[in-house]
Amino acid sequence: MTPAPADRSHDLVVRAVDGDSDAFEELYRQTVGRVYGLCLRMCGNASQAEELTQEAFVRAWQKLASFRGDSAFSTWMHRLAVNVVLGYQRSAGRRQTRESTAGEEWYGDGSSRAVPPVAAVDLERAVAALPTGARTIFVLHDVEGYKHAEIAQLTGVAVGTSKAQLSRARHLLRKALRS
Amino acid sequence: MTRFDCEQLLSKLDELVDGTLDEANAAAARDHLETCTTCRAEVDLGIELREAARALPRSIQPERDLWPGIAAEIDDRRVVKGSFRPPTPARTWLKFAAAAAVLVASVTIAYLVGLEQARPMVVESVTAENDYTMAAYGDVSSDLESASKLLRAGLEQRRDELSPETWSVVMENLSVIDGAIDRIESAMAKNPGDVRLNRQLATAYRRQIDLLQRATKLPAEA
Repeated sequence: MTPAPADRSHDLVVRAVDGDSDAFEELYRQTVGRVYGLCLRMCGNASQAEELTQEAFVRAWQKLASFRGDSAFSTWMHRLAVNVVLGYQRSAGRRQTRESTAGEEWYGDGSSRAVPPVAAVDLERAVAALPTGARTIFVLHDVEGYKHAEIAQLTGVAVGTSKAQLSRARHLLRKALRS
Repeated sequence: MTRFDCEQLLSKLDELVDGTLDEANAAAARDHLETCTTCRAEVDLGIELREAARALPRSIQPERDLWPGIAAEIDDRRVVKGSFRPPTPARTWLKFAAAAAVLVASVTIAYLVGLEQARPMVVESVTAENDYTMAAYGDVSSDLESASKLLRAGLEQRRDELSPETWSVVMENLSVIDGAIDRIESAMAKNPGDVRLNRQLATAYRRQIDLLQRATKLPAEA
């Protein structure tokens, strides 16, 4: 009988903890889309998202032994990726550069990726052009479904700040989508 | 019942869109929206935006396979574990071994520092800037490789001045870095456009040079 996905992931994690990189590669294949999607939306830059995705998986490999299986591997991996991106965003001197280029390279030339509906493309571009703080909160809250309390815990900002950034993001997006 | 004006309504817009507004304020908002088409349009757009965000695909596949870069890195880390030794009385080779262990380990972790210092600010996947960046990395790696060869030749001339233990430690640590370089180059052959791998290669050569420089300055023992 084929094992359930959760059991399969657990088996892969156990093997990966023992140093089986083939098992870890399978975990990567299962979750890379979610991780890359998160990184791409949070940083608004395709090449940067690729690097952050790689870094998230390298860090996951290092921390695998601390994965206790309380949640699904994909959930743990997702949370780890959020932290990697947030750590990157905290790095001094990067925000300005990202903001100046965000929104221009989200989809590249669109030749090799499935193109979402027009409204979604408009939204993705508008999100990518948001200031870093507002974009981060918008993606975590409105796209990924995190609560303000969770976002506050992840990002180290107050709940009120999270709400204010979300409000700012939505205001800017409404403005962008109207124009 | 309290009546909202436009400013009050817009200040409650997020809660209204999220459905978290308390009943008294929700009633006041509904009352205002019955007569204000401007605010009605703003609320409708807010709801549309929220639904569109929820409907975005969570999973997006990267345009290229990112696994080779990850595999190269986790393989390197596995090698590094074996480069540390149990403590024994301090001698020249042991002091060198301690410094070398740090350098060898840094071959694999230096990219983290590099994220802040050496990473190109904007790197596209298939653009002219990317070609430029890749070419720049290629030039740097080539220069570093040449420097490494010169230093290695200089070290070879000092072989008789160093004890067999020191020589063994130097060679063993250089071998670990050589192995890392081989794996990175192997991964690069499959993914020539991977900026991370190119950066790793340049970092590995720099650490190798640092190691060689330290080795060539060791005091004569023989």
